[in-house]
Amino acid sequence: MTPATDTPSEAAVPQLPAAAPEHACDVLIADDSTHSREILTNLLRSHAMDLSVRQVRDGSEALSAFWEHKPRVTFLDIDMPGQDGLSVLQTIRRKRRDAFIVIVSGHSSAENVRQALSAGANGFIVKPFKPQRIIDVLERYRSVTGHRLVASDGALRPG
Amino acid sequence: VDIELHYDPPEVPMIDDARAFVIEREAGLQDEVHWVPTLRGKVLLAEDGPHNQRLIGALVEATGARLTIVDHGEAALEAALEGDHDLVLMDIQMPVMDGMTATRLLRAACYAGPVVALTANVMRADLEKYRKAGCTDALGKPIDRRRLYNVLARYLRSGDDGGDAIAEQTEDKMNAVLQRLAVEFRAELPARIASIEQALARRDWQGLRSQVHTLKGVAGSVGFPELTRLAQPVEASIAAARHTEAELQCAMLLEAARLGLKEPA
Repeated sequence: MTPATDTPSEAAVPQLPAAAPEHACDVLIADDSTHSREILTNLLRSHAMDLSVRQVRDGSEALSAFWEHKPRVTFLDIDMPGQDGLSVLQTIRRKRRDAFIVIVSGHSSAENVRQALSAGANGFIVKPFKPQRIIDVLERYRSVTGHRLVASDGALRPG
Repeated sequence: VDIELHYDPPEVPMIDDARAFVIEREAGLQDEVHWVPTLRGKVLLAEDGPHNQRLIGALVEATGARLTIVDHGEAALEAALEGDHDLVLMDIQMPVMDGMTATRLLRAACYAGPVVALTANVMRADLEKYRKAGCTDALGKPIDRRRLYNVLARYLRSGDDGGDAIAEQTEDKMNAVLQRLAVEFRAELPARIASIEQALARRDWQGLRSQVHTLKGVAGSVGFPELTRLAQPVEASIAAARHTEAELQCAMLLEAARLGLKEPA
């Protein structure tokens, strides 16, 4: 039942921004590659130090972690064992139109992009990750929801 | 592409290209085209016309910026998402996927970098369409060297450490490309005139329109601004189905083209 998270670092969950108390974590990352999860986590934290990040390894873990923790932003790898990212996206989207979900893929094929956007993705980023595209996602989250992903003092580091 | 996008276009004021162009002309600044900024950064050019690929390619490379060229909208979408370009120059009319669709999908995918539309249609209503699709700016065709450099300098970092020798070298290379393009245009002009005449004789308005459109987008950048100017009303008349008017205007265009051929290069 409880999703297997493998982030000891999140034991010290920082204070959540007051604006949206229903979220029990900031970011959920679903990807079967440990390497990818770590890189994305590090990139996110380099822009927003105090982010609480949960990591899961496949689609069904992603679903249970999503309903349990109500993350502000969810990154779903498109290519995961079991349920892939697109079907997780569709399942969540049926109940939560306002969830902010970004599809992650190793290929930027136009067909993948179209499918993800039609299924209701809020973004599409490609591995290997480019720092600027991560910033784009954080900025889009802010402009769509009106909330920053981190409390204003937990803030964006320069550079 | 019928996709519900979770995205609102950014409210970025666009440069009214048509107006800026006219103002520059009126102020007599058109001749002041020898400035080549020294720049650093990566530019993605999505353009299917070989002439403009080479023209814009030579102009961009002369600044020191790095350039990637793709020739349709899907390739542009894929390259932009995969790369870390500082600027995308996006032709609007392209095969496979047009530039507006590619830009719309990029914006929906969270891509926030600058995307500049390249287009021969710079009426206010056109510019509004590009802005709504997510473009941050527009550059009119034929490509005006000074306007292109203004746009590049706005979005790329200055790279003022290359040294004059390198700058001179790249500028020589660029001028060589520009000259070659002009020579080629001249060599191809009789064939272009012939196919316009044929389309006119067949009263093939759509064929004529596309011939004239291509001529309009190229002539001005290789020393025949008059042809670009005369092609504009022909296209507009065909679009409005005013065929008699189009025929007269086309006759003037052809006359100017034949005269242009007689002048020494």
